[in-house]
Amino acid sequence: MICLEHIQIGYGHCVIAQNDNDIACAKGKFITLIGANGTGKSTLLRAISNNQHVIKGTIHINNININNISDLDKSKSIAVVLTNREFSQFLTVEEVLYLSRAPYTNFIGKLTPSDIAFVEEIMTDFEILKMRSRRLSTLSDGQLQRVLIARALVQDTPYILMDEPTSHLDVHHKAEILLKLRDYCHQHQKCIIFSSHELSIALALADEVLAIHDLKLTHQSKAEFIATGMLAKMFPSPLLDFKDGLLGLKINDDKSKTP
Amino acid sequence: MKNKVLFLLIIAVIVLFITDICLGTVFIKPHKIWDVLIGANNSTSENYIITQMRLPRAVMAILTGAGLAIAGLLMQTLFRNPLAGPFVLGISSGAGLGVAFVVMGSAVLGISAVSGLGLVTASVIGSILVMMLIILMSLRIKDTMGLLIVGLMVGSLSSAVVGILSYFSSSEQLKRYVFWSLGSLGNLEWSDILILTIILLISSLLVIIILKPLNAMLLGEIYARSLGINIKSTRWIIIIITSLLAGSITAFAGPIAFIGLAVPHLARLLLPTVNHKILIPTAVLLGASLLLACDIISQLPFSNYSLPINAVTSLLGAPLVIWLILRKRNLHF
Repeated sequence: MICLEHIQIGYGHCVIAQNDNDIACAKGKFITLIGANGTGKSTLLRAISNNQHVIKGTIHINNININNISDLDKSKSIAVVLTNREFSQFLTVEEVLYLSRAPYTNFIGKLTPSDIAFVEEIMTDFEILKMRSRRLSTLSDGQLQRVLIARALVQDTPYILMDEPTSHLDVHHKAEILLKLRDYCHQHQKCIIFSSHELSIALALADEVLAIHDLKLTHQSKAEFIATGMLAKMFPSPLLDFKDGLLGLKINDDKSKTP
Repeated sequence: MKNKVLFLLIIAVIVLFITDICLGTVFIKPHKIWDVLIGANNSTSENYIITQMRLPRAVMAILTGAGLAIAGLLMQTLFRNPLAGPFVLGISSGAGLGVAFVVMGSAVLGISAVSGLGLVTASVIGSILVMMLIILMSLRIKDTMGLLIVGLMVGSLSSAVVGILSYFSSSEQLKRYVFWSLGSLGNLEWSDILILTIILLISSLLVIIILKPLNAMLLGEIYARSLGINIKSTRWIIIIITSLLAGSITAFAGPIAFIGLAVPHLARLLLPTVNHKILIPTAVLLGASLLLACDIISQLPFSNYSLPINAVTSLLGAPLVIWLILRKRNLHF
């Protein structure tokens, strides 16, 4: 369980999101994190994974204060998918996955047969076997995102935080991979928190919703989130129409209606 | 493939090592080396040439080439920058500054004659001072790029001071400094070589400790940390290894350019991989053979002249890297 207690996140003294109560993210839940640009989605994920940008409040993982968890123990409990691309382009796909077993390997990084079998399993599940020996520099943005998602799963942690993991995928693959992640999450009792701008797909698949709006961080079940009409409040826009419920995103294109 | 490359490189080192001993102003037949080593040679001049001149020189070439290759590779991985080399932290500039002070500032400081040992001491002190400065800085500067820029600035500062010193120094002093900066693998005692060997061994042990962090750092510092890698201590160990290697090598052989920057690239292109477990032994062997080859060329076999080693490494190495890049189109990193 990830618990955020009276959390305030931001930069310096400038709070960008807060919640005065406790937020608990449990295992087995597929949780989407939504909010407009610049509301602090990435900041929240960084706060949970690295305890950065926390102004007030505490973060507990399995009832242990995150400050008291060593880097090594944390690496066995939280995996991340980041938007940054700092890695060596010369690495091959399978090298990236093998390296991500680091929390479990010995001091020199020797892989055991079970490490290798685990990586094979993830590669099969996420259909990246075919590109296993390709270098990262030769992958498309979409392929790279699949690899990075698989990389996080290879780390075999109960909690996985993903910052816009599907932003470069086409709409079919977005739906496909998020569906796969949800099933994986339920099957293996993982807690996956993923930020996304694909509201319709994200809301269709998620169990719970973390939303950041108006400097407030809220945590609701999907049904609650939809019932309270949060979406319309979060994205007030003359171009969008939320009256069809959550999935009915329509663009009111006046020009096409009037001849 | 990888084993084959390593095997060929080992052969290359052995062949070049023997060639380096045989060639020079006088040619010595290869079997004589063995005779000298087991004490079966009666010619005192050959004994002297081999044990006191050529053998230490060839061993020095191996140690220097291997050490600079390790230091360069570590710097490139730490700074995630293909232009990084063992001297980016300003270590050689520090050594140069130390030497410049002793050679050119001796009049001001009131020291008269400066021995060879004096030069080495000055250079060691200079590089250690810069190393300590960088380590102090790295306590405050959290990001690696900032550290890189500080290193470059320290280098510029040292060059400026050296420039001022040279402006006020006599032509004799200037010549002496220039000779040091051209680099030399010769004129070393066996005790010097022992010191360098010990430093290289210590560094190699430290490298083994950080093999896993080094590979994880290929994913970028944030991912590496999320994998439980202690970035801070890894950074420290890398800085210590590089300072030890580059500092001591510069002290004994002068600022040898190019090897540290180019060998890691050559190794990556040759294999090709970025896995440090394979890359480090390859770079070590490649660095050793490249510097042996440069040393053979620098002595201009069968003539009475020799060229400065620093000029040869660049003359030979720079076109080699350019050719490789042209052939492979891009320099992967």
